[in-house]
Amino acid sequence: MKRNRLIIFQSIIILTMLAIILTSCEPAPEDFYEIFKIKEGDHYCDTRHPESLQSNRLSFKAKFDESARYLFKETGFQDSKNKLMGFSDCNSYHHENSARFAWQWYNDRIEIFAYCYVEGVRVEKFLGATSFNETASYALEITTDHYVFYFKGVREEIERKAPCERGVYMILWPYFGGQLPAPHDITIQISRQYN
Amino acid sequence: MKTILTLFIVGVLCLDAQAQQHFVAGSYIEATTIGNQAGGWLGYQTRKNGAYGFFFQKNIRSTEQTAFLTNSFYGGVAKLNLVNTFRMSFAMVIRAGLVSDKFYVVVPGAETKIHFTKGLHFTTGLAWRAGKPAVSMGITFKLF
Repeated sequence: MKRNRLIIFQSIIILTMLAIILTSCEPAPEDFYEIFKIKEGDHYCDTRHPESLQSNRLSFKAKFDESARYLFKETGFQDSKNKLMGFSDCNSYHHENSARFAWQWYNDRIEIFAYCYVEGVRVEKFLGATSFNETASYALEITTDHYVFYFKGVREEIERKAPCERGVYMILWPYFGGQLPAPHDITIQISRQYN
Repeated sequence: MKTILTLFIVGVLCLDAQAQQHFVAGSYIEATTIGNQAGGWLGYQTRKNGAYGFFFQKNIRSTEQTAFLTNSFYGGVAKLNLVNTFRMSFAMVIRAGLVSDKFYVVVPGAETKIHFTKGLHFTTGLAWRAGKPAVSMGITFKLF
């Protein structure tokens, strides 16, 4: 009984303190960056976690550092798209219906693409380029029949054939590849935006 | 929706045979990363002080820029009581339902309940929404 009371007392203190801190008048830090690290030899980043989309718009800021520069010995793979962030569409696997931002080191710059699977068919559109340590804003919207990408003033639409309208839309995190894994550790900073 | 309602009624009827259970209602404010939301819930409290029922919550206000984030969130809620004393209790809470009538979402959380009187409780909660922690405060009261 004593132990139970102690647990309750601790839980109240913790929850109350969190409530006070998080509901205080100070605005949430918009530029809180999560660091996603893809280790050499891996495809997946180390900090991904299951999360589902909760609105028609996914917005974030992202920063690449010098680790985004890489050259493959097999030059044919240099234009393979690495995935930045996006989501799988309603109850779909990402190779069936999904929309993501993708990137590649090509032409001595970081090139950004709209990258979708529509009923299993891959569709890519070039959006622009970013540079090391540049903070760029990315936004991806779902409409009834399109995925709409926003990057540096560019707006691109890719047709959407949603398998359903009501369901689970899983968020997809940074992934290296293509077929080849990361040639060295790659670090990407991402800050989710909610307005 | 019809299936959920049927399951709820069947559940209530099954539990009705047991003593010390009653309907409860509550209202709360939740601070989430997508804005502050207000909501309420109606449910059935079990003998062990757990509960299950329905909830609905919505953003308190929005601007033109954040209109797309005024996500109504409704569905089912289950509260599993872990520790219970005369004055306080601590429970795990799972909310599952639809955001904006489109996105299926499961929200895990925890709740501490302070029993003011036998029928009126103050609650503080902590949950995981849209990839970030969300906190809530509210009241729960016994209906009948």
